[in-house]
Order: sequence, then structure tokens, then C-alpha cells
Amino acid sequence: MKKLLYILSLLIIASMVLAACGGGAAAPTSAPAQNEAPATEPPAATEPPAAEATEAPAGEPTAVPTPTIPPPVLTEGEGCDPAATRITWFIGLGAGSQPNDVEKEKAWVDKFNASQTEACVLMNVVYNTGSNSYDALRALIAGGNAPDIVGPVGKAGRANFQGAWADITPLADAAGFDLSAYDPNLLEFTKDEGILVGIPFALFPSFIYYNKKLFDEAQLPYPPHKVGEQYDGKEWNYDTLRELSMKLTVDANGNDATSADFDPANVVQFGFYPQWTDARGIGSLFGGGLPYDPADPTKAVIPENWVAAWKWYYNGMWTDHFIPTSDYANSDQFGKGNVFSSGNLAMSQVHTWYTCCFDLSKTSWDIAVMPSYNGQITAKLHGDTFAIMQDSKNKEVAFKVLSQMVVAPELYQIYGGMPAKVEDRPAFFASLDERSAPNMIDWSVAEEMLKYPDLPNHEAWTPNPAVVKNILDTFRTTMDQTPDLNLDEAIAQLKLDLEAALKDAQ
Amino acid sequence: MSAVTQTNMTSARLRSRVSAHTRRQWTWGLLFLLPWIIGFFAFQLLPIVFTVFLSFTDYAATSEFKLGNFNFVGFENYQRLLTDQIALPSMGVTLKFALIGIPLGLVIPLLMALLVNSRRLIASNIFRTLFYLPTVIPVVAGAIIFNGVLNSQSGWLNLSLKALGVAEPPRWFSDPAWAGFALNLLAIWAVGNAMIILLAGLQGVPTELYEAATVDGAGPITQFFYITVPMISPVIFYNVTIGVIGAFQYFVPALLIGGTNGNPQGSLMFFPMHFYREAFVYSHMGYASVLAVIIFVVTMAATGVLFYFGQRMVYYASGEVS
Amino acid sequence: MATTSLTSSSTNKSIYRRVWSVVREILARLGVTSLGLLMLAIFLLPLAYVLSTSLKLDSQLTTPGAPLWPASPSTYNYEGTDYPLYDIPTEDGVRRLALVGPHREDSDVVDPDHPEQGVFNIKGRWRTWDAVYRFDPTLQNFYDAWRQVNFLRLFRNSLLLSTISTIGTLIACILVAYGFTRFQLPGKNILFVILISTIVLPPQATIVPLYILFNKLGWTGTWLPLLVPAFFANAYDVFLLRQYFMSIPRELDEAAMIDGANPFRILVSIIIPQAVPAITAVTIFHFFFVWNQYFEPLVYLLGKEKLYPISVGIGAFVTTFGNYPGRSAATAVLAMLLPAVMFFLAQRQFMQGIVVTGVEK
Repeated sequence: MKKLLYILSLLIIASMVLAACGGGAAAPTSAPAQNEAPATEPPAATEPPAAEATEAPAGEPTAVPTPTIPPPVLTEGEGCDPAATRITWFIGLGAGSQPNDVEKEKAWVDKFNASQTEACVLMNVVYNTGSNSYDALRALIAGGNAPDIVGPVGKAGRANFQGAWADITPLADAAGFDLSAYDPNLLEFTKDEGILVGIPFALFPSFIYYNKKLFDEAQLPYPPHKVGEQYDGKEWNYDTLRELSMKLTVDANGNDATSADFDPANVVQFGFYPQWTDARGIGSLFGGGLPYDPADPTKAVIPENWVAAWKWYYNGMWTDHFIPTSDYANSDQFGKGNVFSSGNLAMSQVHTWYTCCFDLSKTSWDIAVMPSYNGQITAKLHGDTFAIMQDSKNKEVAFKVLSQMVVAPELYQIYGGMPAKVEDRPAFFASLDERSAPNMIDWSVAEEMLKYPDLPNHEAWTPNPAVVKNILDTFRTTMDQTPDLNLDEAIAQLKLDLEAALKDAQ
Repeated sequence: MSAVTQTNMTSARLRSRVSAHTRRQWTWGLLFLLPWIIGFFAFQLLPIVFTVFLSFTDYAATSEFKLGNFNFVGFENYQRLLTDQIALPSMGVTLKFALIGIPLGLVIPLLMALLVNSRRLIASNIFRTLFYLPTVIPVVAGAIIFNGVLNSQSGWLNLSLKALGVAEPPRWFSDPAWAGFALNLLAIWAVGNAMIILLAGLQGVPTELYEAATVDGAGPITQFFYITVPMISPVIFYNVTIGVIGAFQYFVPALLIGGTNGNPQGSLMFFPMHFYREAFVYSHMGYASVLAVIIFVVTMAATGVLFYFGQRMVYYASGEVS
Repeated sequence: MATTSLTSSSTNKSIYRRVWSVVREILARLGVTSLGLLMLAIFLLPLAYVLSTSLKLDSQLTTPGAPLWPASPSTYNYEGTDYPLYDIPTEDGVRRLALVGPHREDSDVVDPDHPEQGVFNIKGRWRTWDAVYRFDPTLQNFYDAWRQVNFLRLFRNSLLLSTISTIGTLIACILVAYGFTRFQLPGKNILFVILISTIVLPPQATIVPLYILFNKLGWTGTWLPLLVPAFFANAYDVFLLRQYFMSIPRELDEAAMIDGANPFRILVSIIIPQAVPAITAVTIFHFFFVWNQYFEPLVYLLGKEKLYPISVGIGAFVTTFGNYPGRSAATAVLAMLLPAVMFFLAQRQFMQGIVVTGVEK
């Protein structure tokens, strides 16, 4: 026991030593953190700071030992006007919580806080592992501590908190903010259940990222950069993409997927992968659609083009082998899901935000237009936004902050979103060019693909959104993980499951 | 201090009926239990009451928890259980995990504890530390590591199996037949705490017993079953009980690997994950609370059975049979 | 023993016996240790994977055919660019050439011994040739991790949180477990069932009510929700200590009681010394439980980065395994080092345990 106490005291000494070197300049006032911290939290100011002392049970040392840590230095709000309204910005339901992003977000917040006296933005950042950022937000809401602004957040993220988002329209009216300046289609895109929950701020069209090195190795021409251009004398459609991808899929012996000797168990390079999307996203390769009948929302509908796209995708994985299965996609060789970044994937359909996640300057890459299906090109579109929570106690001030966020070039550059306003785009592309040099990227492809969005959008609102999303996700994963799947039966089952979920929403 | 006076008052009322010794026992006993009794009313009772309360409401947790943001719905949530298609299969997943996991979670750490307790193990300090090491890895990191190690293409486990001549090793987390067992492996990997507890039990066995048995000519196996096991039966009982409770709560690694839908094909859809998904993904706090109540009742029943039958098999040197 | 006044043959026999017993002991030690090593090898496979990843450049993981150990491809610099070397089977035997331009059925190569010959084409599939690797662990990932993560501050926070919480837990749980084992209380078994019932709900079911409670108390944004409950005992540790206390015979405390010692004195001077292994187990158990707690500190300390413990502070780094596997693995390894050292120090207590119980009995 003595030894134990000895070890414990060693630990305390060790932590004090660490406090001395790690705490740095923050250490001088040795006020215990427990007493300090509640006072900085406005709603808790009335709480007696020594609350814990009165609760100590008899027979125990009087109170909780006070740790000798420096008082919490707020990483935010230093430059604020003392009278400014505190506005909490929750980041973690989508992009923006990567360590590198957080630094840039902080820089913007500091600049904004110093620039005016009305609002003081505080950041709450949660990096989402599994689902903890969703759980944390849930606890904050239930506890009456809801953040004011949440974002960037897409449809899928918002679906988990259906009904928790404030209607932006009256807030905009009250602030004299002119919503009519925006494209009505874009506004429609930012609505949940007919309620406008954000202001469109950046657009994320998708296109094909391709690895030039792998085309050079196979001595094949690059895919087209212009709509209507042919590929190698053929129409640029999904059959051509399939053929090309098979030539770009190679096993360890150097056989490509068109060869009879090809070994699907030892693939070292794949041709094509629609990276980081869901079943609706894959379906939208062949055109947009909805999984229900808008005229009768209890009726499940599986669009024909989705069925065709899923079959093309499934056969590409398990028959033609040019698309990685989930085992391949999650392996070390293929970047644990970040397949294009591994350098072993020739082509990938992703959005502009993917410029976050691979080495832009070291990979030899460019972008190409989407192929056509039955003469129609579809390039699915993302449009994340910032939303205000219904439970926010300062919606008007929050809206003022929001209206500044959606026009801040620093922010859309962080998230890799194309500015909604055309005149802001050259500066945006120039910032990307800087990061990808010496590669010169043909950004006209991105602007061109913006003209072919998926309608209805693959993230469009559905009844019972969280359940519908999970059903579709399960279907997608089953395709990725299951050889010899009877796809027609699986789709029929999917329809039944969807119908049950849609009925449940009534 | 007020709690102490209260105890005195209670005993005053009973003074006529009980002896001074018993009174002294009660006073001291309650005094020692006091920290927990306060903690129970301060922190531990609330979640249970809250869960039962919510199970009669339609609260969605998309707005602050206060009157007006939810309605009382009587037994509606309990009725919904009858049409729940997932409840039974997911309970099956949990039971299967428990039936494999609980015995393995006892035998393997016991082997490890015997090994690192052996005088014959060279550098047992280092062995103990290394066996414990996986336990200090956070769950999130552990799930990521296992996803890498068990990947059927590049994972080191399958690479080793292929090197040993297994032509088609399992596809682990992609194959519904293997995914559950793969999680059992992950659970076994981090059994450091069970090892430590059993080790503490082994250390508490008086060495005289072994000496006497050796003199009587008992071999190591006889000694193990007739001395070691009965002497450490209290901590074995502890490990089994905690194992049962843990098994009925288990799902976080499954969520990190297979997502909230229990992929592949629902084979990792544990019962608590069903609860979690209803509460935190689908915003059905009310119905989720019904599922939490079920977890509570089933686990308490299982623990009750364990206590009822298990206690007879446990040997307490203090002579207590509680 | 058998050395005095014996015949030479029995002396021989006894020497033989003694040698045999020494040999047997050595064999037993080797046998047990190799069994241990075998178990350890299986156990440490995942850790070896992490360690190896942390010492590799990310590009090695995704290169087909690269070895599992940290290595870098041998290259040859030709006209300002590095090209990888391959051992290529040719008609004149295996040649070591630099691959300048890989193609499917033939490739452009250059001979490092004769660069003046320039680039020439050679038949064959480059994917079937053996790339030349040399053992080359890199510390770059550790450097990156250390630079980006404030390990000192995070370690300090975690040490303080874990230490304070463990002290509270030890005090409270020892008292409560003692109360449950050595006193005849009416309804003690029911109380114990209630105690067990407090850990039966899935932890996720407690998130919302506890957050509401701590927010109403004004404790969110501080360490209080993480520390204060530890001072009021928890079922896991009370149950374990109770099991152990119950296996301590009563003779000694009954004798002390007759001598007039009060129950508190009996606890301190008789029960605790005999329960050192169990108390050590609880210490380790609880210390690392708090150390690894993730969701609770995350939600209660949201926005208060300076108060984050290591588990939360490294979350974003460890989980970006897909994008930065090397940095992620290096962060995990660094975060594991301190707990490993602490455990190594603490577990020596188990050796102590034998001595203490031996003396006491």
C-alpha cells in the first residue's frame, strides 16, 4: 500500500512537472480550474463555485483535491467585445473538423470577432469518429445548451436532427437580407421539408479525377475534358468507361482485366471507383431520381436508371473486376477507403471537396467530364451549408454571423467548394492551382459539370430521412461485400424495406 | 454529517428490539456505505429513472428536454415492440457474442494470469506489461487497428494464414458468417483488466496451501482444480458477472467497424446497437428507452440467476454466504 | 541435505539428482517462457502492424509488392530524377536496372553502371520484377505527430484526471466494499443488487440525463463531471473489492475487535494490507478506464481545448488513418508509451503482494 501511495504521489509530481513545461505562459495564476471554469460559462454564473465541497461524504478527506492546472485559456473569444453576444459554432457533422481545417476556421473566427462588436463566435469542434459528434450535439440540444450555428452540414447530417433546424426565411427578412439574389434552384436545394434551413454558399460539382501516370503506363489517351468529345473514336459513355477501366485494372502478374489470365484475387490497380458516396450517389451516375413517389410519399419507387447503374456498378466489381470491392477499397494498398489517393486507381468520381484529401502536388492528376448514359450526362452535385438551430437563443445575431460566413472566401476555400457567385471563381481556382503546382488542372471541367446536376438531387429530402438513408446504405454495403448476390432480389427487398419505412413516417 | 444523525434516529426507533452489538453493526455499516448511497441518489439513480420516464413519452431529443417538447403516450412504445422486426434477431447477435465471448473472456485471461504468475516465466514483468498493452489502446484506435489487421487483402492476419498454407482465409468483417467472431477476437485482445483481476486473485492464495498439497503428493493439475480454482472463485465469479453485464451492453466496436446498420448484412446488429440507433440516429428516444429497459431487465435477470446459482459454487474464506 | 557421511554411490546419485533438478528447472523455465512468447506473438501482431506503419512513409503502404517492414526503394538518380531499381531477369542473367518508363509488356530502363548508354527498352512485365528495397525506418511520422499534438499538455491533463479520479475511487470503493462485507445490515443483499443495477444500463442511455444534470449544475466546461462522481464509489470496483475482502479470513479482524479496535482501524490495519493485490488491480483498472474515457470528456469539455485529456486530444489524429496512416499510427504509439511505462511501474506491486500476504499469515 505504501508503494501504491508512492506511485500515486510520483504521478502527481510527474503531472506537475508536465504542467510546468506543457502549460507554458498560461500558468502564472494558480487559481484552481474547477472554480474558475463555471464562472466563464454565462448560464452557470450563479452556481456556487465550491459546490463539490458540501457534497463530500463523511469519513472522507474534506473535498476534491484541487488540481494544479492553469486556468482554462479560452482558445476563442479573446478579441471579442465584452458586451458581444456569444454565438456558438458547432463543427463536426461534415467537413471542417480535420486538424488543418480547424486552424483556418479559427483564423477566420478571430478576424471576424475583432472586426465587429455585436457577436462573439465560439467554436465547438468535434472530430467525428463513428458517430460521437452526432451524440454530442444530441446531448447539447437535450441539455438546453444547443449551439447557434451548425455547419458545414449536408442533407444527410441534418436528417439526424429532423425538426431541430430554424427557418432562415423570417430571419433573412428581419435582417433585410435579400434571398432573391440567389438562384431559386439553389434555394430549393437548401430546403428540408419545404423549410429553408441555410443560405447556399458553395457548390461542389463532381467529375472524374484521373491519374495520368497510370494512363501513361498503359499508353492510353486521357479521358475527354469537354462534353461531346469522343474517347479514342468512341462515344464517351459508360460502356466506353467500362472498357477503358478494365484495361486500367491490372493484377500482380501484369495482366489487365480484359485478359483471360487475369487473377481477381491479386489486383494491384483498379480502373474506376465512385469514391465516398452512397447508393443514391451511385444510382445518380445514370441520372437523378427519388426513392419514393412525391405524389404518394408512402409508395417506394426505385428509378429504372438507378437499377441500371447499380447493376453496372455491381458487375464492375464482381464480374468485370474494374471497381474495387469493399475488401480491396479498405485495404492498405488502396488507401483504406481513400482509394484515389493510393495512386493505384486510374479514375474516380468525386466532388470538388476531394481536393482536401490527396497529395495535390505529388500526384500526377487532372480532371475529366462524366460519361453519358443514354446520351444524358449527370454529375451529382453537393451543396453543404451552415444552419441555425431552432433552440438557439440568439437567432437574429446568429443570422448576422451566418450571412458573413457564406460570403467569406476563406471558408469556401477550406471546404473546397466553388463559390456560388461566378465572379469569385477565378480566385478560388487560383488558390487550388497554387496547392497543386506543378500540376496544371483544367478547371473548366468543374465549371462545365456544374451544368449537369442530378435532378432530383441524390441527397434530396425523403420522408423518414434517417431510416431511409440507413436502408439504402445497407443495400450499398451488401453490394460491396457480397459476391454472387441476386441483385434483382436484393432490389425487390430494398423496395419492401423502403416502403415500410415510408409508411412508418405517416 | 446530517446523514449520520439520521442513522442514529433510525436506530433509536429500533433500540428496543435489537441488541447493542447489532446496532453498532448497523451504524458502522451504513457509515461505510454512505459514499455510495449519496452517489446513488446524486448521480446513479437519475439515468434509470429518466430512461423509464422517457419510455412513456415521444421525446425526440431534437429540442431541449422540457415540458411541452414531448407528450406522454402511455404504453404505445411498449406496444411497438410487438411489431419490431429487428429486436429478436439483434438479441440473437448479442447472445451469440456472449456465448462465445464470456467463456473465452474467462479462460484466456486466466491462462495469461497463470503464465505471468509463474515463477518459471523469465522476465514476467515485461510479459505482464505487453499483455496489458492492448488494454490501454482507446476503443476507437483498437477498432481501426483491427480493421487493418483483419482486412482480407492486406491484413497481417490473413497474410500470416496464407503463409501457413490456408488458401482462402476468412473475409472477417465482410462476411456475415465471420464478422461476429472477428469482434470476439477484438474483445479477447483487450482482456488486460481481467488478467489483472485474476492475477490479484492468484496472489491472494496462501502459499502454505500449495506447500501442504505438495507434501500430500498432489500434482500441479490437482492443485489447480482443488486449490487454485476454489480459492480464486470469488474473482472468477466477478469476471463472469461483469462479462455478462458487458456482453449485454456491447456494440461500440461493431459500430466503428460495421456502422449503425450492423454490416455485413446485419450480422453485427447487436441489441444495444438497435437501442442506440433508435435513440441517436432515428431520434426515437421514447421507443429506444423501451429497448434500454429491456436490456436492463434481461441483464438483471441474468445477473440474478448468476448470483442465485453461482454464489453456491463460490468459496469465501471469510465464511460468508451472501 | 544429503551430503554428510554417505556412501560414494549415493553421493553420486544425489549429485545426479541435483543436476537433474537444475536441468529440469531450466527446461521448465524455457518451456514456460516460450509458451509465453508464442502467446505474446499472437497478441502483439496488431501492435507490430501499428508500429511498423508508424515507421513507414505512407507511400510504402500503397506500393504493390512493398515489404511489410519499414523500407524504402533503392533508387538511381538519372539526369536529376530518382528512378526505382529493379532486379530484372534477362538473357545475361539478372541485371539491376533503374525503371525510367514503365509500360505493360516492355519498359524503358537505364543501367546505373553504364548511364552513358542512355535509356533503352527491355521486354517483359515490370510488375513481375523484384523491386530493390532496403531497411529504412523513418521517424518523420513521429516528428509530425509531436509537432501537431500538444502531448505534454494532454498527458498532464490525463495524468491529473486519472490520478484524482483514482484516488477518489479507491477511498470510496474501499469504504463501501468494507461496509458490504463485514457488517450485518438488514437488506444488505437488496442494497447490493441495487448497486449492481447502476451499471446495467448501456452507457449511451446515460448520456442525455447526465448531460442535462451536469449542465443544470453548471459543471459543463469543467472537469467536475469527470471527477466528482468518482468520489462516490462505483459498482465495478466495489464489487471486485467485496469479492476479495470476502475471501480474507475473519480470524484477524475478530481478534482485533476483541482487543477493542474500531472498524475503521480494522479496515486500515488488517483488511487493506491483505488486499493489496486487489487494490492494485482496482487502481490500474480505474486509472486506465479514466485514461481511455472518450465520449464523456469530449461532451463535457466541448470547446475547452486546454482541458482535453489525451484520449480526446488525439482523436482527430488517430482516426485519420485513411488519409495519414503513418502520422495516425505514430500518434497512437506515442500515446501508448506513457501508460505502458506507468503500468510497468505499477505491476511490480504484484510481486510485493506475495511478500505482504506471506508475512501477514
